[in-house]
This record gives sequence, C-alpha cells and structure tokens, in this order.
Amino acid sequence: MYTPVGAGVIDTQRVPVSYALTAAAGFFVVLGTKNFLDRDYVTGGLCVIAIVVALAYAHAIYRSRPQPMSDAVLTVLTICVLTVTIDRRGLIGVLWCPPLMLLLHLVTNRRASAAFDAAAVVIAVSMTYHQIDGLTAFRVSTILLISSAFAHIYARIMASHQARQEEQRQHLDLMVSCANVGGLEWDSKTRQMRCSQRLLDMLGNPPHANQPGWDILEWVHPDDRQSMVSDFFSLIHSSAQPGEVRKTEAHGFRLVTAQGQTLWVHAEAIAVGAQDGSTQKFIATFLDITQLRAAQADTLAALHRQEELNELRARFVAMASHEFRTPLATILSSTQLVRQYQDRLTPHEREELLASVENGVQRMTAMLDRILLINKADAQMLEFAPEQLDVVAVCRGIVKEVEQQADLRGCSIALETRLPTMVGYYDTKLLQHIFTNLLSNAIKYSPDNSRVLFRIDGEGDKTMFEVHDQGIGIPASDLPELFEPFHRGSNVSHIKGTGLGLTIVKKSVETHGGDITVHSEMGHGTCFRVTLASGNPSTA
Amino acid sequence: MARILVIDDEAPIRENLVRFLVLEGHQVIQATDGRAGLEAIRTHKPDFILCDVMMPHLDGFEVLAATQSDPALRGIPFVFLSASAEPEKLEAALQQGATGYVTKPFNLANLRQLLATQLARLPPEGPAV
Repeated sequence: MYTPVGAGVIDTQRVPVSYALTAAAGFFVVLGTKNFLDRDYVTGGLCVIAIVVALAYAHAIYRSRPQPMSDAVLTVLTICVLTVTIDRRGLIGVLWCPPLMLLLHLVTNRRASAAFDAAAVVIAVSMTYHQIDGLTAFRVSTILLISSAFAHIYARIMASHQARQEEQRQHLDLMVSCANVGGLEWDSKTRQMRCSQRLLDMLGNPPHANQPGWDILEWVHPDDRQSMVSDFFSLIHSSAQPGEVRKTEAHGFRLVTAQGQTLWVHAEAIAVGAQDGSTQKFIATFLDITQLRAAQADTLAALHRQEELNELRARFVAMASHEFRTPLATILSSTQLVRQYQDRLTPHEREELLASVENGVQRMTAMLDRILLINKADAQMLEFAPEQLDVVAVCRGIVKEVEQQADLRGCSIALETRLPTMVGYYDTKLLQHIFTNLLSNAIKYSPDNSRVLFRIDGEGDKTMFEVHDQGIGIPASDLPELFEPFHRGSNVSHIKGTGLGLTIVKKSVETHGGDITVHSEMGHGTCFRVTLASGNPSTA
Repeated sequence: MARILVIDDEAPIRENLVRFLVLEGHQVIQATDGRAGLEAIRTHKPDFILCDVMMPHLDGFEVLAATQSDPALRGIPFVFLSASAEPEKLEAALQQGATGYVTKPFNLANLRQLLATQLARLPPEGPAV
C-alpha cells in the first residue's frame, strides 16, 4: 500500500525484451565457449563483452532503470559481434538491418522490441550468407514475430491490470488523505507496527518511526496508555475464527507529538483472524479531533456561561420582584392613605406618611445603586483612589454607622485592635462597601442580643480584618456560590435580603488588591477574613 | 367593626395597614414577626388575619399551618400579604387553608373590598369572643 512508485518497479510491458536479451546472452555463452575451445581468444573475448552488455541491458530494462545505450546502438553492436564471430564476411549483413528494423517498427506501431530486432538480424544474416533459404528465413522470422506479438499482448493485458490496480490504489490513497486519517498496520509475521505518512505527520515525524521495535504506545499520552492497550491492542491478542473480522469500538485517545504537543485522536481498529486463530491483520485508523474537541469545549463553556446567565437572570427577577415590591407597597399605601383620608389625618400623620414615601424611594434607589455598583465592578470600572488614612478610625466610623442603621435587636459590635491607629493607603469608599456589608450581615444573621467581633490587625504591609459572628452559619453547599450576585443561602429564606452584599464585598476587596476568605460553622457562626495591602506601612 | 390582626415585619407597611384599618373603623392588633403573630392569634382569637409571608422566626406558611391545626382557630379568615409574584406559591397557600391573598404593592380599595367580602361570610356569632 505504501510502496513508493518509481525506480525498481517491474515494467511488464518490457519484460519480453529483457527475456530476449537474456536469451541472446545465452547464445553468446555457447558461442564464446566454442571459440575459446578453438583457441580463438579474440572472438571469445568479444562474446564475453556481448554477454555483459546483453545482461546489463536486460536487467536495466527489467527494472525500468535508465538504459545504458539506445536500442539501435545495441542491436547494431549485437549484429557486429554476431557476424564477426560467425564469419567476418557477414559484416555485409549489417547493411540489411536498418531498413528491416525500420519496417518492423513501423508495422508494430513503433514499439521496439528485441524480438523484432532479433527477427531482423536473423533475416539479414540468413540472406547475406544464402545458407538459409528464403522460406526458412521467412518461417523463422514469422514464428519470432507471432511469439513476440503474443508476448506483447500478454504484456499489454498485465499492464492494463496493473494500471487499474494502481488507479484504485491512488483513488484509495486520495480518499484516505482527504479524510485526514492516519493509518497503523500491524504485521503478524514480523510483529512490527507500521504507520502511514499521515500518522507520522500527525506525530510530528518522530525519529526511528517504522523501524524494528518501534511502538506507537511510546507516543500515546501516559494517562491513556493503559486504556489503549486494554481497549484497543487487546484485539491483536484475542482469538478469532479464521477470516473473522472484528472491530473495536471508537475510542478517544491523546497522542503526544515529537514536539510535545497533545493531540486528541478518534481511533478505530479492525482485526482479521488467521487460520490458526491468531490475528492475521490488524489495521487502525486515527482521526485528529483536537480542533473538534477544542470547539466542543468552547461550545460547552459558552453553554455553561449561558446557563449561569440564565440563573443569574432568574435570581435577579426573583430578588427584584420581592425586594422592590416591599417599598412599592409602602409608597402606594402611604399615598392612597393621604389621598383618601386627608381630612381625618393629623398634620403629623400626614408628615409621617410622606416621610415613608421618601424612605421607600430611597430604599429602591439604594438597591439600584448596589446593582449598578456590581455592574461597574464587572466592567472593571470600580474606582480605586487610595489615600493616606487611619484605617482604625475609618472602621470605627463604619461600626457607628451600622449600629445606627441596622435593626440591632440587642446585638452589639465590638471593635478590637492591637494598635490604636494604623495608617496606610486605603480607599474609604471601598472600605465602607466591604465592612458595612459584612457587619450588617453579621448582625442580620445573628440571634438577638449576640455579639459581633470586628478585629483589625497588621503585619508588615498587610492589614487583616476579621468579622466574627455567632449567627446561623452558612451551609457548606452555599460556599462555592457565596459571592455570586443575587445568590442567597439556602437557610435564609425567612430573612430578607437582596443577595448583593457579599458580591459587592468581594468586588471591592478585589479592586483593593486584597483577598477574602470565609470560615463558617452551621449554628455556631461565621468568620470573614479580609486581607488588604496597606500600601505604605506606617503604624503607630 | 371587626378585630383584625396584622402580622408583618416590615414596619412601614404594617403601620400603614394599621392606620388604614383603624380609619376603616376596625379594631387592630399588630405583630412584628411570625412567632409574635401566632401568639397574638392564640391570645386574641381575631376575626380576621392579614399575614406577611417572609418573616423571621416563623414564616407566613408556618403561622397558617399552626392556625389550621388548632380547631378553635381554623375558621378565622386568613389572608396573605405577599411580595412574591410566584402564583404557584399563592395557590399553594389557598390549598393549605388561606382564604385569600393580596400581592404587594396592594390597592387600599381592593383590600377594603376583600375585607368586606370575607367578613360578610362569617357566621353571625363569629369566631370572636
């Protein structure tokens, strides 16, 4: 299948020519021997030259190699040797040869053959010597012509059969190369593996490929070798009925190229059983599916992103519908009360109702601001403007603010710090986003009258903040999605919230170049630990 | 005039409901969460209950379940005030024994009509003492 076309291939069309030349060489062997025995060394030497030339020529024609000299030169040379060795007078016979050869070549459609040339020589020589009468010469040359014609027809049939086979082979090769499939053949006699050029190309033309002892397993990804042996090459060693064709299921393997790249291939194999029940033939095909897999991975990733977006949208709709309806209910009921019961309300009650409308609007605005903040952070547009400040003082201010705004239910926040002041470069807004949310959450999810610990500590240019509560805790299943927008813990359905706070915290920490970790124990409490770089370490 | 219990942890909404029901001439009791609400039901046995769904301690569904499990309280009209727009949840509430639901934001005129309809269905003696 993979034999190179070109030098060394037997050309059936020219086989009779080489046979005729070999026969001529045989004739010179007999003639040479006779001359040597008669002590005519000159003629004997000429015979040896003629033998060498005829055999060299026959071999060259048989193997389709470049011919040492043209047909005409050889023929004339042969006739010269022949006539000289038989009778030196016969040189005249040479003069008959060219027109006879020309005639025969024209009759046979200019297809030169040694048989025709030989016929010309016989006729010429016999007519020269008049030793063979015309009828005998005619009979000899006719037999030669007919046998040559048969040889010619046989050669033509063989050639057309071979051409058909060659065409089919080229057709198959073309189909295989079109399918971009690499082939592997296992030889049951030599027990060697042989790869097609395409497979070698796929493997980056590794050294020593197709040489004795070479094994494709060396080029299979180490993690896939075991499965390739058990799922694939096991077919070679399994017993089969004579002639039985067995196929493996399609497998996906990784190959490692000579350049170290990993290729994904789709491999299938077929094995044919031998008479003794072993495997006679094993052929495997390898289709490069690396790009296909990459495209598949991209599609899956896109699908996953789409699913995430869908989930995000669903969570947003659920949150927005719930969290917007509450202030809207306040606004609508307050305005309707003022309109419908205007006369029966005291000025103070009217003022209270109008204030609740304002509160409702503010609540909705704050919620929108939080959504926009996350959107800004997603677009990497969150501002980071650090300035020199005392982070302990800023945190104390945040604690006070949270204590004023949150529904404390008897809870308290204790700020603990080893140093009275810690000066560094921080963004006040981001600090507010981070700790307002963490502290309000700590209170919101803690039992009444519990204590929230807010600890600040510094080490080198790092500042560590811990918000520790004794609240309900976060289920482990919620931790991976804790910082996702609109995600709420599975144990907080009875506690109102937007699911935006921790997302804002995370984005703010990231913008500040810090990191956040969480440790939680159900029923015992949660600890958020934020580490920020203080920029310019200066503690007092 | 009926004795109406309002259970809602959202202070502005609860206050507006109380103000509205008082102006409508009812006697109003209020509770700030589910647990306090259930206690108030057991203590006051109101003629009508308006209850929020999402609340701390006990949510609206748990309050309803507790009310339905007590034969003495089962007959009290129980209307949910819900910020959830999920109709399946509200339909489920009706299956569990709620007599109606109102979604936030609600119209006072609709609430007035609902109250009138549900109070009119009560037997003359009513569950109230």
